[in-house]
Amino acid sequence: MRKLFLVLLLISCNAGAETVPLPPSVSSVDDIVSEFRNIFTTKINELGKNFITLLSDKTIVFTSNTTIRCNGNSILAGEPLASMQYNFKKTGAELNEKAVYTGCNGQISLVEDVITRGGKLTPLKYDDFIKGKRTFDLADDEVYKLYRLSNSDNEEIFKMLIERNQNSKIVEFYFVGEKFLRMNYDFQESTTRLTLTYFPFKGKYVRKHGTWSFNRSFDAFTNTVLVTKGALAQVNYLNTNGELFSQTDYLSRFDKFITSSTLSTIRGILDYHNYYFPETKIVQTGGANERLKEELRLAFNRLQNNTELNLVKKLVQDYIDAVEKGLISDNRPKE
Amino acid sequence: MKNLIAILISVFSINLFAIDSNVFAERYPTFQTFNQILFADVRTYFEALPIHSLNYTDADGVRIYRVHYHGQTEFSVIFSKITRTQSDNEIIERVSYALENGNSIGYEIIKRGEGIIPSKDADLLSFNFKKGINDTFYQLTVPNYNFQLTYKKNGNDENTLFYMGLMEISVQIESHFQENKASLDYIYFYKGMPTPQASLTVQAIETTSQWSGLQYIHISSQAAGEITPGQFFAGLKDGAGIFFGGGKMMMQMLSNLGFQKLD
Repeated sequence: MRKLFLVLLLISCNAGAETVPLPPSVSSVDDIVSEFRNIFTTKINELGKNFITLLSDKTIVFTSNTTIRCNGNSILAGEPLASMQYNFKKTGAELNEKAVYTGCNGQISLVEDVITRGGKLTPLKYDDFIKGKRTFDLADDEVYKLYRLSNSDNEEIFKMLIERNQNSKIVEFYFVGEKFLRMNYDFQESTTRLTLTYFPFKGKYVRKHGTWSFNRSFDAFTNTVLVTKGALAQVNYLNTNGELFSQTDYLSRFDKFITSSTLSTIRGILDYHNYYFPETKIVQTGGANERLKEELRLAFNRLQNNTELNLVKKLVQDYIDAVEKGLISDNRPKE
Repeated sequence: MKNLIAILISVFSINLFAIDSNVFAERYPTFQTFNQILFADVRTYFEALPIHSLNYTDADGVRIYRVHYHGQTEFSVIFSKITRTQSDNEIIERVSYALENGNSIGYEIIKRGEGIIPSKDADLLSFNFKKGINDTFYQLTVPNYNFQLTYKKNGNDENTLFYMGLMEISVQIESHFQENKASLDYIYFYKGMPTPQASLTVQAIETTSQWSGLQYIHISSQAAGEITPGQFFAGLKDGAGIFFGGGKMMMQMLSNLGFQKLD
């Protein structure tokens, strides 16, 4: 019966699949998660480059060919330094995935649980898992997703719940069990409306060598983005009273209440959890950067000779596009 | 009919288990990467030459560049010429740059393969070497630098040998593909050095698990065993120093021949 309901829901969702897109400046579900998860993704990715990878079924074990100091202990060459385990179970229209990330001395650093409901459900690919990559927003044929990030004691750090109905999608974000943001999408034929509700919350996250306390005290309020279809899509930003306000005001509120506060705190917590793993360095793989250098060399030559400046402009624009799509990543230290 | 089915089954089963020929393409440098490093400075010079000169092509197809000395009315003249000979499945391209003092620099490219196409003139004149997708044999010889690059492709297996006479160093890059395994070797030969030969090898091996796909193993001859990808790429970076150094020597030699600085 539940399966039939899901199928009917999927059909109705897909019927209205053509939606009016929100402007790129409005953070998506994946933008929000990657804001803090990227620090963990980078660590996972670097583990694969800094250490020898051994595979057995769905477990990836990292070892070294030399003795490594990690969390105060010496780990001999060939001994496990860290590991990642992925398991999934598919039951009907539901996919349950669990990833366990273990650091030095067998200490579990983090656990990720993802439950997805919908039509075509595919487990995470190995190539993505080993790079720490995954997306969290619903695919076209998915109607429900729960993402939960917890520690070794099953204490929840972050949770996200997405549910899609016929013309709407609701996303709720939780930090240590406290809801801090709701995104309510309403898709109509000629409009898309996103209503963000910011919630106050307070709580504490305590681990062996670190305590994070927070008290976000304010009255819950909403901000709305309304996009109307047209030759040039009309984007309106509305404050909690339904009055128009600027994109800058919208973005600065999002930054103040979400990015620079809650997400930044979660990022700090994940940074702490990265210390469960052995120290890693950024590794440059061969080839990729040479292409970039060659293009920059040619662009420099063009600038120096004041020739074909249109091609230089195009190249810079191509780089901006590539960075936005994540095809070029910046590993330089933060300024 | 039975034969046809047998052929189809064998073709499909071979493709099902064969390792993708692009298995190393994403992360590991190819010979073209090193060639680009080696000729980067020379390429910059010859890309800038037409912009910094008055130039035209005469009736014999010789390109003539008049390059003014900095802030002066006097100029030097550089002549360039491309010659091509093409026969069945083979193209030979020769490029030369000559100075009035009789000095010159030039190179020759020999390409072989079915459906090969000539290089673009602009690429040839700017030392921008691009192996074509259909080239199963590609040889570049630059006598001035005592340099030769020879690339051969046989099925998916590829073999490239750089010989850099200026430094008495050779670098060989070769890849081999088997049914469930592929390997890529970078072998460095140093004449007269304490360690005359060193190699870095990466193997891509199909695992038994369908989920995990390929496992990469990195091996160094100096470590006599498996190393981490980070150590492997650090080794490759050290090896690339040969090409950076070679590039600087080539540029110095160009200046010694009398090719004037371009302002």
